[in-house]
Order: sequence, then structure tokens, then C-alpha cells
Amino acid sequence: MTTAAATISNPILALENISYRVQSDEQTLDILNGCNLTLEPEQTLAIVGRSGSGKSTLLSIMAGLEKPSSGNISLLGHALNHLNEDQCAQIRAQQVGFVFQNFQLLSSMNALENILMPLELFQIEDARDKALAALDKVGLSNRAHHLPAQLSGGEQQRVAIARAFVTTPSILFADEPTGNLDEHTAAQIQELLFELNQTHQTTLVLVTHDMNYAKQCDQVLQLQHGQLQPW
Amino acid sequence: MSAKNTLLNEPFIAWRWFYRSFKQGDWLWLFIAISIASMSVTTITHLGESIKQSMLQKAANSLGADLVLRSSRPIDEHWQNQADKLNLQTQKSLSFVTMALVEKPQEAFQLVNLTAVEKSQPLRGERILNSQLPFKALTSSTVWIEPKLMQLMNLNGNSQLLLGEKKFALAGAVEPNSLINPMAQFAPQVIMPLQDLDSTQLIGPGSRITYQLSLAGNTQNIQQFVREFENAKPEFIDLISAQAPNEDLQKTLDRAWLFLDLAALSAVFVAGLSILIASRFYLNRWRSSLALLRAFGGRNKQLRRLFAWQFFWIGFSSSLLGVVLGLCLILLASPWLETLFTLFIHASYVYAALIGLVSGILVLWSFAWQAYQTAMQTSPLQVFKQTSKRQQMRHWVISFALVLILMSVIVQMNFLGWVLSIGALLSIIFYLCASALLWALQKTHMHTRGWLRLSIAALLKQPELIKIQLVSIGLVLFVLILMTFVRQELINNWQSSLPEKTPNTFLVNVQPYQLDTVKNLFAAQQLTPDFVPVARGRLIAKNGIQLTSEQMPTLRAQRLLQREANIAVSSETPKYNEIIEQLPDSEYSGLGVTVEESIAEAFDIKLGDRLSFDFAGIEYRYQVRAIRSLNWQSFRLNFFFIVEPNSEKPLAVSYLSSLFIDNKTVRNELTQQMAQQASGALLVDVQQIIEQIREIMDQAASGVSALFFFTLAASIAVLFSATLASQQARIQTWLLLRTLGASSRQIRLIGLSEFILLGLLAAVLAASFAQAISVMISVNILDANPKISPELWFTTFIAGSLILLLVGYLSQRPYLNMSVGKLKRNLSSMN
Repeated sequence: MTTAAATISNPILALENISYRVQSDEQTLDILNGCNLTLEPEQTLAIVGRSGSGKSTLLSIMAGLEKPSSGNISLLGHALNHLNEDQCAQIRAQQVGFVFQNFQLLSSMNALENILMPLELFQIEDARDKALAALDKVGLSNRAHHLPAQLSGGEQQRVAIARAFVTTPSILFADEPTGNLDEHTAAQIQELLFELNQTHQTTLVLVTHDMNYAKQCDQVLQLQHGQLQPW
Repeated sequence: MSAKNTLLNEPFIAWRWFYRSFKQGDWLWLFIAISIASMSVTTITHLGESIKQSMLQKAANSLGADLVLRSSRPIDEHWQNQADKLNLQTQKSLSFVTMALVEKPQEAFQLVNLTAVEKSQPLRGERILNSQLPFKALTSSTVWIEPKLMQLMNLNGNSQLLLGEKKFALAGAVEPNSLINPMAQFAPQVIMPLQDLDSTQLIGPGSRITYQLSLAGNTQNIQQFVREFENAKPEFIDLISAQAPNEDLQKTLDRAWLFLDLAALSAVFVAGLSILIASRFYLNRWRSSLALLRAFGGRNKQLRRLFAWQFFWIGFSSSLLGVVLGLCLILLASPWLETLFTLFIHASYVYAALIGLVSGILVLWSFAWQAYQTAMQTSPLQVFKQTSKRQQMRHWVISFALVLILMSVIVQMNFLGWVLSIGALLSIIFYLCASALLWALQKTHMHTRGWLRLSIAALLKQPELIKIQLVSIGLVLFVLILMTFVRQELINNWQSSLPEKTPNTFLVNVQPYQLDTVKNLFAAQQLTPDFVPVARGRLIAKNGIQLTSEQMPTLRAQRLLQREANIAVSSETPKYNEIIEQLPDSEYSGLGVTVEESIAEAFDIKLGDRLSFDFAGIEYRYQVRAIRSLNWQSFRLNFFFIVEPNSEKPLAVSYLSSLFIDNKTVRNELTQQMAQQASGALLVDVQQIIEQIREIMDQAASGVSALFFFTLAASIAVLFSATLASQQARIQTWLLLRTLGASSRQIRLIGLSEFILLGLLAAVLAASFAQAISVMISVNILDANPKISPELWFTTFIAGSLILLLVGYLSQRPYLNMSVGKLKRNLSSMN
């Protein structure tokens, strides 16, 4: 990876005046309008906001999946807006994990194979043992060979969490991880996520609607009118 | 992170991913489609090549060689040397008509066709022996004779045949080979060793001898020889190839080759469409996987490689399966094929397998290239939201180039470019027509109600996908119609060219004074042949300008100027000749001539032109009154020119006739009687050559039918896969309708109507194009009259809607009765 990009500061994640603009047929839409944020390692951050407020867009920018229209962003000491797509990908490969609202499990692969996939992509040794251990940690070792369609929503999200932690990321981005689950299951998933987060000493960025869930984080920010404001 | 970042591991990772998905039924339709393509190509390549080789072998055996150089002058040693250089086997022979005499048991003489051969056995095939005489090898002072000579000259095993100055013992009776030596049809054949020819002293300065140099060897060397011959264009030497032993067979074989190529192209094209559709079906899954892998940090090049490796694995494994299935199919079909061909030659299995394997991989890349590139453009943002799929023009161009490579692997056709251009053009026109049909459907949609409205709405939900489905299903139906049509036309054409009672006997050289005697001989056998007066003549000038063979572009035209031909003398045109153009009566002046169309074309003869002929050294002029077309394969009396009788300067004519004589004994009796009572007049028996041609045509028809049914089976699989691409949207609709309280009956009605509508729309496209193409093929390839066929339209509509209804019912049956919960689970497993 090119290390030409300058290190901005010590925080694991820092946003400086981030804006994101979308050009539609006749008008320009400002999704993000000067977002600022600093997140220290092992901290947990919740971002709340109404549907359509731009939470997922902000998350994708923070994870280096999308470039902002303007502003600076530093992830794990790298200025993402100066890196190309492959350099961003390498940072994600080494230190970033994801949990999604709709689980994003591959329907034709069973639970174990879904967890194995990132390990195999990066050709990590003892992949199978690591994947089985991760499944065990989320309490699904007996469901290793089940396909996503054979698992409940909660179980699917557990597999997705195991997949996110199996590569031991430094920072985890979770986009509404309980959004598709019932209250009881959602509570279990929250608990699991925080527990693993603590065990792995991971920094957590959580996008959620659920204030009870958000309140468990060290920091809660609300995205409103394209800006991050303390809750 | 401990990572062994090595490229070498990627094929294995890709294999693992492919294998895992495949186990769960992912890639299945692609796998099936590629296997079908590869199986088709393997089978058709092997079958086609075997049929070709078997038919060529048959033709070569009939000819006794792969190539024959024939000339009325001694053949230049240069060609013998060239053949030696190319390691070709050669056999020199010469033939001429002479008189044979026998003294015992009773004196008799007979005109025979004497063939002096260098080696006793032909280079290809074997002589067919007749048991009338004990068979011995052909040595000095011995001859083999045609069996009918035994009756004609009343011979027995001890007879000695006097040929010129030398007596020959009879060493055996062999059946004549009419393809080896056409003169064998005119007089019984006698075969003698070439070394004895001088001692007969039969050859003199005026002898009309046909010199032959027969050649055989491997295909490449033979082709090299043909190339050298064609470049040199030696005068007075004709080249006869087993590929085109005579004009009739050449047409038959050319059409059979064309169909074999068409069948291979159709099978691959049909499978390609299946891949195109299946790849769209899997595209969403590929995009989901790739978005996820990108989000996880997969780099662009790495993912391209991994995905390409997965493509390779699916291409390789499915092609391999296709090859194995193809080879099994060939082995299973072999006993049946061997019953169709007297000598069935199995072409190389390795070659067919290799072509099948390469084609399978190529067909995947050609037709799935677009989907591959679209998937590769997937943004990692797809994990959060839907992103657009951009399709770039250059990928269509690459796709087309890959199809071009694929086609050139499968068929070696000189009109490949033509076929591809038509294919591309057809696809574009189909696409535009499909857009127009959808537009019309959209307009109709406003005025419909109930289930029909919902069915149309379901079709219109994904217009782009429906257009591709319409184009694919339409093209598959079109290919099927086209193949059905071409096969039927071919078989009808072959059958009609040699109907049941095709004349098998020709009467030639009947002099006017012998006419009544010959008629009486035939009348005694209840036969009444029609006689046509003919004169030997040569075309020498057109509109007063001398014609020379050097000016003529075609060999046929050159030959016609160099030699005398039989010219019919009659004021009537035979009924089986079709008049294409006729000069108005008002423009008639002088004597008229009618001209066969290909000759008119070769000499650029127009109505009203004045043609001069040389008949026995005297020039006669005629005005061109009509241009005729005739069927050269009919075995009737056909003439290039028919001139009006000239009452003032009558031509010296003899009479010709052709007729069908069912009974071989009657033919032999008449031959004998004619030899005794009408000396010089000949009865020519062409039954053997008719049977040879019929056999080759029957073999071609069987091969064509076998390939047709194979393509038909492959097409059905495509129709199944074509409906899959929109499966997700369909289940979504049904899920919604079920949730809103629709009954099973209503769901079935809506679901199946969608398929019938799709079938009908595709049938509109298919029938209109099939009609247009059938007219083109009739006119340009089959030389037949174009027909507008209402049956074709009706059948296509019925077949299109019924096939799609059946496909819809079979593929949708499990979903049509599912509960909301089950439908939901099925839907989630598709994502």
C-alpha cells in the first residue's frame, strides 16, 4: 500500500467538514453538509437520525466505500480521500469489519462458508479453524452447515457478526444491525455485538434508530440536516 | 494478518467458492447450458465429420480414388511427379471403345469399353465381383469382364476374347463402376493390364482415348494437389474429386454439409442464448457477492481474477461433462449410425472432444461477457443501496468478437461472415421488434381488466429483461422453424430429384433407319419410350462473334466450346423443362433455339441473340427464343440447346430416349436384342449410378434428421432457462397477490397467462422472420420456388404459446401452489 498520504492525528476515525452532494436531474441535493467527528480507539459511537437523513451514506464514507464531495477523512491514520479504491480496499481488508441490516449472507453458501469467505479472500492460514471458532463464539456451532434460508433472522445476523469479527478488525461499522429483527432477538444481538466488541477491543460505529441501543455507546451523535450534532 | 499473498492460490480459492455454490444449486443453469453447448458441438463435430468422411469414402470408393485427372490426351508426366512429391498413390489407366471378338463357343462381336489399368485394384474401395466366372488375379493376357458381356457374347469360362491382335483369357467377372468411367454406361466394360495394351495394337492416331490418372492419399496432400492443379489450370484435363464426383452428387453433398454446419451453429447459438439468459439470472447474486467482497477489502484486480477463475472452472467442468456426454451419445448412436451407412467411419474422438471443450469455454465467455463485466463494475456501496448497472458498448463489441472466434472454431464455412452479419442484424431487428411489441402491449394494458391486466403488468414489470427474453425465445423458435423448414426442403428436394420411377435406361445412337426396329423390340416388352432426335454439334458464335474457350470464365463453358454435344432437334420443349423467359412471337425471325439457364448465364446469352452452331462442319444459325430451367438430377433427357428442325437443310440426327425398366432381366434381354438387331444403337443401364446417388442422399437425409432432433432437444432446455431470469420478480408478484388474498386459481391464471403471452409475442417475431428467411433460402440456396405459408404462421403461434405454456407449467408448478411463507423463503434464497 502507498503510504504517501499524511497521517492526520491519533484518533482511529476523524471527519473534518465532510460534505456529500448528489446531482439529480434539475437540483443538487446536499446529503451531508459539513460533518465533523473524532473517534478514539476502542470507543463506541452511535449515529442516530431519521430514515433518509444520510446515515448509511455517512457510514459508507467513513468506511472508505465512497468518497465525500469535500472535506477530509482519516481512518486508522490514513487520509482516505487521498487514496485510490484499491488502497482503501486494503485498509478495509486489514482492519475494518461490517455488519449490515439485511445480513448480506450469500444465499448459496452455508453459515461456515459465509464466515470462511473473507478469510479465504485474504488467504489467511487456519481459516477453517478460525471460522469454526467464530461460529462457536456466536453460539451457532451446531448450525455451521445450514444455509441462510434455513436460519432465522437472528441466527443470520449472528453469522454476519461472526464473519465481521473473524478477521479481527480494529473498527467495526454496523448499519442498523437489529433493524430487521424482533425486539427480543434484537436485544440478544445487541448484547452479543457489545460483548464481542469488548472482547476484541474493537472500535464500534453503530448506525441505529433504536435509542436504547444507542445509549449503550460512549458517544451518541444525531445526523440532522446533513450535520452531526451531539444527542 | 498472516496472509500468503500468492497468485498461485487463487485458482484453488475460486474452485472452492465455485464448488460450494454449485453444491447448493447455484450456477446450475449456466452449467447445464454450457454442457449442452459442449455436448452439441462434440456430438455434431464428430457426427458431422464422420458423416462427411463416410459419405466421401462412399463417393471415393465409387470413384475408385480421391481424385481423378481425366483427359482426351496423354496426361503430362508433371502431374505424376507432383503426386509422387506429395506422397500420393497413383494409378494410370486409359479407356476407349473398341470391338471385342470371340470365336468359341460361337463367333460373336461386341462393342466394348476397354479399360487398361496399371494396377488391378482401384486406389479406393474394391471391385465388386460377380460369381458368373471363377475369379483370378488380373495378370498378363487375362481380362476381367462386365457380367452382361457373358450373355451378349455367349461366353463361358474357357472363352478367349480377341482384342485387336491379342487374345485374352477370362479371369473374372466384375461389376462396372459407372463413376470411375462414365463410358462404362455405353458399352460393357472389359478390364485388361496396361502392360498388354501395346501388343493389342488397338491404339492408332485417330483413337478416341480417355486417359486417367487416379490419385489417393491424405486429405491435406490431396487438397494441396487440387490447389496446385487449380493454379496451373492445365488445358484439356478435367479434375474429378470424390467431393464432387458429379454435379448431382456435388449438390447433394454441398447441401448436406450446409445443414451440418447449420445444425452445429444452431445448437451453439441456442445454448449461447441460454447462457445469456442464465447469466442475467445470476447477475444479481454475482453483484451481491462482489459488493460484499469489495466492502470486505477485496481489490479490483484480485476479484477480477478470482471471478474469472470461477468462470474458468464452471466453463471447464461443464464443458468436460458436455464432452463426456457427447462421446457417450456418439457411442450410443453408433450402432444405429452403422446401419445407415454401408461403411461408417468414426472421425477422431480427440478432435471432437477438443473442439467441444474449447467451444464450451468460449460459448460461456462470449455470451456471459456482458454479465461478467457488469458484475465487475459493482460498487461496494451495493451493500447499502442499489446501484446502477452500466452497460458499455465496447463489451458488446468484445462479446461479438468472441462469438466470431467461437463460430470459426465450430465451422469452417466460407460464408461465416455472412452468417454472423445476418445473426447480428437479426438480433438487432428482433430487439427493435420486441420493443415495438412491448410498446403495443403497454397501450393495450390500459384497456384490459382482471387477470389479463395483471399478467400484462407482470410482463411489463421489467421491460429490458422481457425484451431479452422475447428476443431469445423468438430466436430459438425461429431457429427451430428454420431447421424444420430447411430439413424438410432438403429431404423433399432429394426425394423429388430421384422419384420412384426415375428413368434408369437410356437408348442412344439409334439411327433413323433403326427406329422402327427398336420401337418394336420395346413394344414387345410393353414399353413405349419417346424418342428425341439429336444432332452432334458445337456452339461456335454468338451474334456473329466467334466464341473461344479462353474467353470463358467457367470450366463448363470452356468444355462446351471444345467438344461436340448432343443438341436436341425439336420444335417442342419437354414438359419437365420450365420456361423462364420467352421472346414475344412478334420478334421471331428464322429458326429458334431454346437455351438452358446456366448455359445462358455462362455465355451471357439473351433472348433474341443469334447463336451459330457447327453441325458436321456446316454452320447453322438460330435465334434464342426461350431460356429454360431444368433439373439436372432428374435422370431425364436434358439438353443445353434445343433447336428447331430445319426443313430446308435437315440435320443428320440419331435418336435418344430415356425410360424406366423395372425388371433387370428385361433390361438384359433388350441389351442383347439391340446388339443383334440394331447394331451401333446402345442401351445404357444407369440403375447402378442411380442407386449409388440414392444411397448417398439417403445417408445425408438420415444425418440431417439426426442432427435436427438433437438441436430440437437442446432448444427445449433453453426455453426453460429463458423463463428463469424473471423468476424473482414473478415470485415477488405472486407473494404480493397471495398476501392480498388472491386464490390459487387466480395465481395460476395470471402466472400461466404471462407465459402464453410471452410465447405468442415470441411467435410473432419468429414466424415473420422464418417466413422472410425461408423465402431467401428457397431462392438463393435451394433453387426452389418461394412460398408464403399460412401454416407456418398458424403452427408457430400454436407451438409458441403451447411450448411456453408447458415450460411455464413445468417450471412454475412448485411455486403456483405455495403458501405465503414458503414463497417468502424461496424469495430470500434467491437473493
